[in-house]
Amino acid sequence: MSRPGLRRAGLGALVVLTLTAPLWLANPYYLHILIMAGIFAILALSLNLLLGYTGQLSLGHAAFFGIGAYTSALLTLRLDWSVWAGLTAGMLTAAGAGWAIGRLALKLRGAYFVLVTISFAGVISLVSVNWMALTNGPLGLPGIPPPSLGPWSLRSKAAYYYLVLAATALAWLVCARLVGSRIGRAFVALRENEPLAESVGIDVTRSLVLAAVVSAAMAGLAGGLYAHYTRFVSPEVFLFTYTVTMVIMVVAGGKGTLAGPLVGALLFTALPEALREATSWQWQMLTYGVILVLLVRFLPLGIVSSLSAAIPRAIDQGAGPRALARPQPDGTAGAASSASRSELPLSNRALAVRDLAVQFGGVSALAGVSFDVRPGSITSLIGPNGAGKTTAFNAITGYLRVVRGQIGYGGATLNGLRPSAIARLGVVRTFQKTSVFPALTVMDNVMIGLHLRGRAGLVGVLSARRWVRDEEARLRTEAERLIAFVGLDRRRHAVASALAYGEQRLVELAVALAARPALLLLDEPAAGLAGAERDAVSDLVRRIREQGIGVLLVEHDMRMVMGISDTVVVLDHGVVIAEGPPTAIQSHPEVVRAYLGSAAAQA
Amino acid sequence: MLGGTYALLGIGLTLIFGLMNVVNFAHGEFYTLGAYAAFAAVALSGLPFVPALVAAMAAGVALGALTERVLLRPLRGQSIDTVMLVMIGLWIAMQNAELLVWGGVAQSIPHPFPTAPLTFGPLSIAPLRVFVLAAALALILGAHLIVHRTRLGRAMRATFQDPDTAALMGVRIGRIHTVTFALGSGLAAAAGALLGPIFLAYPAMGDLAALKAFSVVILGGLGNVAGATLGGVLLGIAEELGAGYVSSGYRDAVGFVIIILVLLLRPSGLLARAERVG
Amino acid sequence: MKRTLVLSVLALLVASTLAAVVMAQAPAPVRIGVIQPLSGPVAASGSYVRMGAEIARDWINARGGVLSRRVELVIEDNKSDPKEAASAAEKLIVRDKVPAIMGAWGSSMTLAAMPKLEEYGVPMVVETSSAAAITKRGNPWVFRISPPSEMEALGLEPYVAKLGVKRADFLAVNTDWGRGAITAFGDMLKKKGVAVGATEFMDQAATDMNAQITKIKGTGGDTLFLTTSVEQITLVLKQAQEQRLQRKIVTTGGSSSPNQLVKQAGAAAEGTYHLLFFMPWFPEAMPDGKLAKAFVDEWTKRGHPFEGLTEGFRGHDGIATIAEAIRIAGKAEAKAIREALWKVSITGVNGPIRFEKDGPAGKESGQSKPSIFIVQIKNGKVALPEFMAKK
Repeated sequence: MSRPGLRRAGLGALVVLTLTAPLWLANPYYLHILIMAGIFAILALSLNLLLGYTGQLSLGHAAFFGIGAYTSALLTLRLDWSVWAGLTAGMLTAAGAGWAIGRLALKLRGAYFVLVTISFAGVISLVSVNWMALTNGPLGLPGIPPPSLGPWSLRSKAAYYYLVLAATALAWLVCARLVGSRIGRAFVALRENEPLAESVGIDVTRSLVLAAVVSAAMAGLAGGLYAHYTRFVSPEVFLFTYTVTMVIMVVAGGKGTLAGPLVGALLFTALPEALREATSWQWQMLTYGVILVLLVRFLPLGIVSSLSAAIPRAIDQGAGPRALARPQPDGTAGAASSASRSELPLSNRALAVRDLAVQFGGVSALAGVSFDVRPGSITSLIGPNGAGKTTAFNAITGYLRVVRGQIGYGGATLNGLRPSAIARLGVVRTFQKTSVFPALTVMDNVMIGLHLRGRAGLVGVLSARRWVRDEEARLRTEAERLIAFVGLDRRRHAVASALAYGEQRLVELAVALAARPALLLLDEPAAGLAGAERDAVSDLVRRIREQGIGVLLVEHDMRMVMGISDTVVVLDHGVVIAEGPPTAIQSHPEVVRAYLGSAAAQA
Repeated sequence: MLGGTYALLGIGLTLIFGLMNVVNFAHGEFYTLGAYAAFAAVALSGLPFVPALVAAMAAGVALGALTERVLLRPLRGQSIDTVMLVMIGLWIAMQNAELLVWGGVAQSIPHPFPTAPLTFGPLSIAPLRVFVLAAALALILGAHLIVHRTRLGRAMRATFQDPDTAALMGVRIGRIHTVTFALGSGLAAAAGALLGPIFLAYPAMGDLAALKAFSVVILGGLGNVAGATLGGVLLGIAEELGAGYVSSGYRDAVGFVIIILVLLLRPSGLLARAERVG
Repeated sequence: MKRTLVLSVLALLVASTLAAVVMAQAPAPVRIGVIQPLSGPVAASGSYVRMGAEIARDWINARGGVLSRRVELVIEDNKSDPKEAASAAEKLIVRDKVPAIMGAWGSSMTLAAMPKLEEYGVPMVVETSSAAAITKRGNPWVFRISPPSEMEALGLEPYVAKLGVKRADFLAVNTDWGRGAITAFGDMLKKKGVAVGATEFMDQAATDMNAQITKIKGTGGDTLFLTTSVEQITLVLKQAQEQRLQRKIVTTGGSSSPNQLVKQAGAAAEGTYHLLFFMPWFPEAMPDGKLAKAFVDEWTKRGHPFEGLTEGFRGHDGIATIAEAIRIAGKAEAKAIREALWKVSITGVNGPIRFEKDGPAGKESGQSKPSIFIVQIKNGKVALPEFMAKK
């Protein structure tokens, strides 16, 4: 009890210290540093949302900062808008730019996304230099008014400090609420495993654009605050060094944590100023660089993450497990398992694949394949390596472009739909290579799987409405049921990458089931598993069928296939060579020649 | 001309960034290092120009190897952002160390070529530029041959595509990392030494160069030497034309817009082969 | 999670408090703040100004200081970034309690630092910046000894005919300085009936200006006005030579450092004209020949590069101005120094320094009218142009 008490006391003291800073910080220079730190904290939080949570690095973040600064400065200077209106407009304009960049770059990842953001910032910066009529070019805009509240001008440092503090707190709250919600989980899911995220219905485009918009809006707010504080804006706000500073703050502070950007911003705003004191100007930047190198060299995960790793029991990647601090007593798990059966849906829809063809650069991988999967039945797809089984999976679930043919599901056609849209229709898949969200706990993995069962949108999440909180609690209960269903209830707080291989496969199943499939496509769920584990998976697949879910199974283990399947479809060189109940297939002459013979030889 | 510069910088970076996946912000500093090393060799130690070039390249290789051993090796396996951050630190430190050693004053590197331009009809070009262009082409070709035609190059490509298998095949992974980074840095230093006499050597010279190098590498496709060359030449030409026909103030914007367009149309670079998904 | 946050923030607080405690008590000497770009792309120029300021400080101290107190310079780097310039001003005023500042080289850096002067009421002597806005904004704490571009253009006016300028083109760095110069010189030339052809810009960090030169080549003008840093002037001259651009070239802004051009551009610099505010080759031709000579000697004695002199003198004149104001004020106190700055009348290395009112009434800034000179590179040496030598 003493440790949490201590923590609460520490946090309280910190809040009091922060709130009273203008009183005990006699020297306005320190207040100035704190204000700058606050502005950069908003920027770092904003960048962290993209880099730390969705995993996309924007090296053009100074553009959003600058857009916010210029918008607010111009509106207050030229059109005499109030500073508050200017700040809001700056935020919105930056958000608009974030939307554009998000839309534009949504197909790009990693280095390519980075380059587009750099280029975007470059273009905007050149516009600010060259469009003299609007921006006054390199001369900059002096004389930007300070904000006022009714009759009081917030010109004083202390007043501005509170303004920035409030904005920082707001930005932090936005991040914290997002991160603890289904929206934040979707961000993290994209960072951890994009194909898997799509397979459970997370719309990549929407999520990335949303992250970009929120992030840009925050950067725009920081820009506006900066403009009205320094009261001078020039094209230098677009300097690449500003973006670099933000990256330093986020990564050195601890990306993907909520505290990291705050710590990073405070430290790396204070450090150059401290170096002004400590060394003469020749050595300042050199020392700064060396300190940065040493910091990364010895705390490669960032200050916050490294510290929390060093302190036992305080592990937290910020993505939600915080909320699960109290494990349920084990007794409830069994009950949950039975309850979940009644919850899982029944569907009468069937999958109908007709004349499906797929090509890789002229080579035909599937050449006109047709088969059906009825609800509440298990259909297995078998065939030698390279027969086109996984290709068929990818084509049905939207991961591959189809050259010819129809994929019908219920009344809908799946051709041309994105994986997330297909998942929304109730068609969910697993992957051949183990595919989980590695850095997250089992619980979080399943919570991401439950994405489609939540309704909370941006507004709901940010305002933390009651129904949103209720929904969270409901999802959490549901996740615990599913985990119990696959038999992992004792491992629910373990990080997925630390689980045994067999357990990871069970996590995959739980994630797929969480997406509430009516049709489940399992790609070699028992691959690499030993006897008992294999039987457990077989049993699980049977239980899934019992709930009325149609199962399409790709599997090499013939004993398992023949034991549980209702129908078996045999593929060879991209065509169906046989189809029928297991007993008929086992004696089918063509199958024996093409496939079972070689499999028997291997065994 | 400008294209050749970009290409030379680009191929060094494509090895480091494309193959090793290190977002090397310090690349421009190796370029600067090369220029200053050449200056020190020619102006201070009185070495002739060509041996000075070699010395500059050697300095780049040595410091590159040292960087890999001391900074990158312990961080192998860390996320790409962490490695990037350490390179940002190195970038800031190196640039300010250069400022400390050489002062902010730009240095001009003496060279033995006549300054009067050679004239071919309407074209006029300085002999120095002819030499630089030739040397750059030779270096580009050399790098291409090393990566694609030697055992070392094969080992390099194998290491970064599939380190486990490469290790099983007896490739010494650690050594390959060091060699690759050193080679990339050496090429950057060579670019600096070659361009130093045309332009000037000053501490901040690497910043713009590094940015362009990144663009060139990504334009050409990661790890693709030929792509980096093509990307460099294209970017150079685009900027020249852009400055000529649009407005010199927007010269760099032309490059940026082209990058955005290329990436939207060909998301994995100009010379990337279609990859099988899944 | 929360504990992590608490721990890390606490650790930081401790660290920053420790840093704060290091602060020393202000000792007896008179402290003058200096803000210059000492790193970043224009670090060289900022360093020269700093060197000049240090010479002024040492001379003043050798003469017994000011008000019988030693002069101490508190030098801050603005990293060529306006945000840093504002932070540096804040730090100098609040932490170091300097009663006067000299700075901040570039116009955007000066403009960014200016609100701080007003906020705390501390005067700043502006030694290099050329943007007209600096003295027009109604900031009564600003005193400029460098010429705005308009003043420089007026300084050239008498020589336009002698230079034989009929049709002029412009190539300038794309900053406040370059743009300001083009406007000011363009207006002045048009008034004199000179046609203006191409107006081209280059990025501050650009190294290849061939495209711009090609464009200029096509206008058929006779004179090219060039406004940028000495590094870029070198590159432009070299590339102009390669492209065989046949023009009179006049550099403006006083930063061109002809010696460096001779050294680095060689034959390409031959015949070019340069507007300067200091001619270290002919110190005796300066308004105060003896002072100029002494400054050049001292500079050389310290081993500073000769080419830095055209920039370094600003540092001397700025510090000398502030020291004189402190002497007149009789105390090192910001408000008194501002009043006293209006009464300063000295001759610096550049020439007479005396402030006149500029800007909106009631809140005027001070603007001195510096002397302007023109030199030409002839036979690899810096010389007075014929029309000047006659004078």
